[in-house]
Amino acid sequence: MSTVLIGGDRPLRGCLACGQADDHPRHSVQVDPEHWADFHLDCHAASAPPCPECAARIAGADGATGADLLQHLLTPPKKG
Amino acid sequence: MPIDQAEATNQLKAETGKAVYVATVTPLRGRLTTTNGTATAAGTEVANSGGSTYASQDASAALGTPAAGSVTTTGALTWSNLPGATIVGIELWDSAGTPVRKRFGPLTASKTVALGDSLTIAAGALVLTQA
Repeated sequence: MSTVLIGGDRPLRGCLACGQADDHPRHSVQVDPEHWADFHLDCHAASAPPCPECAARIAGADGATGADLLQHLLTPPKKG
Repeated sequence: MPIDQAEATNQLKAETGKAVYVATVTPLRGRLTTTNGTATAAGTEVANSGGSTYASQDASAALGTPAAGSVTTTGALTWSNLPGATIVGIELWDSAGTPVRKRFGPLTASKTVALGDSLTIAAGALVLTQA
């Protein structure tokens, strides 16, 4: 299954959990001083143990990925 | 992490009895930078763009108890909803009305992030020493 890229100047990165390379939002985690691991937010939220940061960020996104997820992440929560 | 020169002077004045130490206003906050600072000049803090909501993060809770002349982060530090940027360093500032920089330092490996990303610095990554 192909992945629809968001585009622009977003960097292509792999996801350590699923192996997919794309430009979707990532959680970059420092694993040691010289190395970083990149995860899709949904993959990281579903990992064991689940990442609470990613779980919180995708909450309410209804499974959106790519540009739709980015729009969700950038939309301020409604007040009231 | 190297100490800011003004903070070092502040400490030395207190140590030598020349002046009372100007206390840190807690919490210390961790700032991500896109250029590295020096002992006398701050780096360039990440600037929001495109709808990002980057903000400095409370680093006090992540710092352990100083012992044997040093203190290390015992918890991770996470910044959310970043703008597209290459992060090269971290600085610790206090929460005074005009914040005072205390420490600064480069990342061993810089990290390029995209709009909407989160970034986590691992526990133990920040080490403050008085050696």
